[in-house]
Amino acid sequence: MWRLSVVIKEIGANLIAERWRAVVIAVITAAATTSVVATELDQVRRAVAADAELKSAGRYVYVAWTEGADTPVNPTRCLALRHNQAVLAAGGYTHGGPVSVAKAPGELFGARMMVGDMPALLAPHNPPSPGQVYISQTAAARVGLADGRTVLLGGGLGNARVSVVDMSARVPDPGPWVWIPAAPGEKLDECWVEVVPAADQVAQPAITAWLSQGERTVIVTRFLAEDPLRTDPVTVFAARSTRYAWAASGVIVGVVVWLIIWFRRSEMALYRTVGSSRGQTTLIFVLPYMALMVVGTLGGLLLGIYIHGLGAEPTATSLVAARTSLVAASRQSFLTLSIGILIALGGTLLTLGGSIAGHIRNRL
Amino acid sequence: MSLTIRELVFAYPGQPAVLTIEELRVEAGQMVAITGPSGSGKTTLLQLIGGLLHPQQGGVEGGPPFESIRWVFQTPTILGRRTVLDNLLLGLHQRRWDQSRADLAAGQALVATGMDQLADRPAGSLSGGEIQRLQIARALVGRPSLVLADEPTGQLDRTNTERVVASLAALRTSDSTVIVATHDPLVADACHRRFELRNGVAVEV
Repeated sequence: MWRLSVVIKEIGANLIAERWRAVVIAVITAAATTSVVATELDQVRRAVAADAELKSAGRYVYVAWTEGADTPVNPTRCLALRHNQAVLAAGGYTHGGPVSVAKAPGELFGARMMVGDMPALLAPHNPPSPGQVYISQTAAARVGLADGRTVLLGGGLGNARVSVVDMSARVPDPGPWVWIPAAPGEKLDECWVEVVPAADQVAQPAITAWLSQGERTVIVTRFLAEDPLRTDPVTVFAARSTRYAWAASGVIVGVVVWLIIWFRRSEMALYRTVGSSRGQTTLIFVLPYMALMVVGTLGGLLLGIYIHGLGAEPTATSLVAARTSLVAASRQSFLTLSIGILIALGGTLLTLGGSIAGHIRNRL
Repeated sequence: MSLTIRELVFAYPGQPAVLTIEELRVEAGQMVAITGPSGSGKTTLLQLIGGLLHPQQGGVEGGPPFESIRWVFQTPTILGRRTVLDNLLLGLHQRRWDQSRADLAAGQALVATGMDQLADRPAGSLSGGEIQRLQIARALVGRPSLVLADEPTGQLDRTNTERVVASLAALRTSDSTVIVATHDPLVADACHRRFELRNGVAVEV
C-alpha cells in the first residue's frame, strides 16, 4: 500500500502532466453548467414575470354581488374581510347618480361611491394620490382633466380635487365613472376582495360563505374571466422541456470524464502493478478531476449569471425573479455536478473492477 | 532467488490441459527464455509464475511475493504524459526510497538501457522500441527478485529488436531472476537458458 503523501504527490504530478485534459474537463463542466444556469434563469424570470403580470391583472381578485336589489352585499362584512390574514385588500362600491363636470359641458359621468381599499384594488401598482374624487386616465384625457386639479362637479358635489388614476392594469375599459370615497352605508353593489396566492383555492367558497349570511345569496366570481387560451405560468414552468437539462448535462460531463479516465486504463494497470491499491488508484485518477468539475461548475454558475443577468431594473418582480432564479440555478448546478461526479466515479470503479490479475493479464 | 515449477498442470475451463510441466528449475540471477509458437502457452506460463493464474495441479515453489515481481508488458504500459524519469521513479515511491537513492538507481537503469539521453522526454513521445526499453529500465530500477517479460520485441522491427536485446543484457547481468516469453531467436539467444514449449511440455534446448 502506498503512503498518503505518495498518493498526493502523484495526484499533483498527474494534474500538471495532464493539464490539457484538466482544462478540457473544466471547460466542458463550465459550459454544461452555464447552459443549464442560463436556461433556468431565463425560464424562471419568464415565469415570475408572467405570474406577476397575471397577478397585476387581478388573478387573485374576487368580485361579490347579488342579483336581488333588496338583498345587497353587506358593506360591514365586506370590509371586515380586511382583517383576514389571507386577504390583501377588500373594498366595494355602490352606484350613485349622474355627475357632470363644469369643465366639460355635455359629458356625463356616473358616480361610484367606494369604501375600503378600492383605490388599491383599482390600481395595485400605482396607488393614486389622495383626492376627493378619482377618475380614470382614459376618462380624464377625454375631458382634459389633470391630476390634482380642483373642478366643479354637478350633482350636488361642489368643488373637489381630482386624482387621476391609471387603472389600465385591471380595468382596460374603465368607463365614464367618477369614484368617490364614502362612508360605509347600508349596502354595496359589489365587493372586491384580493387574496394571497396561497389562499386562492379556497377563497371563492370562503368569501361566498362569509358574505352570504342570513337571507342574502351572494354570488362570488373571479375578477378575471376564465380564458381557456390563457396558460398558467407556474404550470408552464413546471412542465418546461428543459426541466431535466441538469440531468442531461450531468450525464454528458460524467461520461466525458469517464471516457478520459477509460483511455488511461493502461496507466491504472501500471499503478496497480507498482503497489497502488484500487482505492488509491481511483483517488489518483478521479480526485483531481472531481476538483476540476467543482471549479468548472462554480465558473459555469457565475458565467451563466453574468451572461443572463439577474434583472436590469430593481423592481420587486425582478428581485423576486433574481432570488428565485439564483436558488433554482444553484440547485441545478449542484445536481449537474453530483450526477457528473457519480458517473465519473462509478465509471472509474467499473473500469478498475475485477482483480489486479485481470488488469495485468490485459496488458500481456 | 531461484524458483521451481513442479508437476504443474493447467487447463482453461472446459479445455484440455495447456501446460503439463514435470519440473522446471530457474536458478537465482538467471535469465531464461520460454519459446514456442503462438498459442503454445508462453504467456500462460508467465501468468502462472506471477500468480495471476492458479494451476489445477502442482505449482511454483520459491516464487517471490507479488509485490517483488516486475513486469515488462507486450502492450505499451507507461504514463504517457509524464517524463521517462517519472516513469522509472514510480516503482520506487512505495518502497520509501529517498529521492537521491531513487535518482541514482533510475540514472543507472537509464544508462544500462541506453535511455539516458531521453530522461526528460515525455514517455508518450517515445517510439515503440524506446517504450520497451523504458519498460525494461523500469523493471531494472527497483532490483526486483523476479522480472517477467512477455514478448518484449513482439511488435518491433529488426533495428529496435536489437536495441531491446542490448537492454535485456542489462537484466541478464542484474541480480534479478528474469523469465522472458518470446518467439524471437535474438531474444532467446541473449538468455542464459532456453526452454521450448512443445505440446504443453517444457523442453530445454
